[in-house]
Amino acid sequence: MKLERGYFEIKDLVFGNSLSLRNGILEINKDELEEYLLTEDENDNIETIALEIVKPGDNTRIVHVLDTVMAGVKVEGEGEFMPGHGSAPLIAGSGKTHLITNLAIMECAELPWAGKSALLYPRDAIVDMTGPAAPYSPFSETFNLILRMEMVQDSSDVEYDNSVRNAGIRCARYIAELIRELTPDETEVFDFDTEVDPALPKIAYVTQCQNQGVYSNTFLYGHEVWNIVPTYLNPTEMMDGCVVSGNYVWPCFKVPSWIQANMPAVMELARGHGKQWNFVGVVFDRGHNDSHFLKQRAASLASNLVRRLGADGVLISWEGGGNAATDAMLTLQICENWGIKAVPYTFEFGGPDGREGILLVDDVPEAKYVVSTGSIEKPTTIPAVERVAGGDCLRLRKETGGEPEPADIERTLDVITAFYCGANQSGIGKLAGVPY
Amino acid sequence: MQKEAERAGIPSALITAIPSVASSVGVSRIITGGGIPYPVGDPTLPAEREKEFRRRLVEKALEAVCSDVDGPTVFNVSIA
Repeated sequence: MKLERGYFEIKDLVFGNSLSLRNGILEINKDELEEYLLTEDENDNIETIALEIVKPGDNTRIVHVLDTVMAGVKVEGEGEFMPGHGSAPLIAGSGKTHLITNLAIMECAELPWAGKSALLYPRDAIVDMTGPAAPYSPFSETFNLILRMEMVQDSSDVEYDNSVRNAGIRCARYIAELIRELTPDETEVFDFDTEVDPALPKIAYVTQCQNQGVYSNTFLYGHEVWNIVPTYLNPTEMMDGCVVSGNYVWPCFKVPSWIQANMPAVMELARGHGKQWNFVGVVFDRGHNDSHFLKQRAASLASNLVRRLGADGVLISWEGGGNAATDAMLTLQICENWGIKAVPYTFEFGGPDGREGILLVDDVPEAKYVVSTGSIEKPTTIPAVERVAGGDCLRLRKETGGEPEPADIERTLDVITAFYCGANQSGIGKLAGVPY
Repeated sequence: MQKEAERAGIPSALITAIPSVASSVGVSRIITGGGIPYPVGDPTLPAEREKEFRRRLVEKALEAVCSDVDGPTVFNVSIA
């Protein structure tokens, strides 16, 4: 497969009378777009939509973040950007795609907590645009178009979930139509058709998503992957958004759709393909399998694909908490036992100073090298802010039934779990290793 | 908890869905249970068979408690 990505970088995002992109300024007609999204919402599960703009450096806290999507459009080639959502599930990843690199479309809503299990309920996710928590999220550096939604009462979880996701994707498509005919600022070509030097080391990437039911699902070509058998993806399919997130449970552990289409390991390996290494492909899998038997089965089948790809080495990452570490570590163990070097990257625990309790929920002796993306047990004080976007309160405590608390005040959080993407599980983030 | 009980001189065993985690933290006697949402059973089985499976898990755990072990040891039962 060969994919050309055309990149547009915007300089500003404003509301105005038209939908246009001129001199890097993206103008959106707020009323028109809000009305479009409400009209298209099947079964009217969304009561109200208010669009909001949040920019890098704003003294603003974004709350209730569910998923974040990228504005992209398929200009040439099969399928759509984010195939299988409002479009046929055709194999994407070849031809040309145009993308706005620094625009994030964020779906924000309070979804119901009542009757949810102890773990799998839609928690409140925070993005701070300034202050000490800002670097926890890549979206403190993007122009953010917020879809602040209020849902009608008494719809089902499945309906809320579909409505929220479809609104975000429709909004992204609506904007991305603008750039279909325009000339990108920059282009990048990813060519996996041309043979590469056979002496280059062959590297694969295993990415394990979370999929445990509504509000913690991931979609591959438009369908959730509860029963997935680990499968092969061309790196360019990932770049075209074949993986879409519907995971709202632990904010810090989420890998939103925006990142799924820009996975650091995929991008980095693809950029070095044919030069530093031979990137033989992506193995896509789900973690959190329910029993040891099912974990072993998934790990065996994923490892078998890595072996079939002829990989000498493999990177492994996973979405979600400790349960999923076991699926990944079993995969690592099998690969290593077959002589395939395997390196995972993961968040760690370790308490505030890094030495308390356990570091990882699970590990195996074969995991000789583990890349840390940082501890999630760092107490962080977030300051009072001038403005709150996405909603007007925070729901942080299940034990109170999610009693709304003020969102704009200073507060200290013992752990970073409420910060959107804060555990850097995709490898996106701003942390660096420091010897001490 | 199992390790602390053991340290206090009380032989004990852990029924868990994820024996690899129990092994890596040094639990001595580990019985592989049904699944994460149901460690001491398996609701996907017909009721009678599930009851038998639960019985086997508990009996295996009692057998484990009565066994001398050297380091983390996994005991498995067959699904009834």
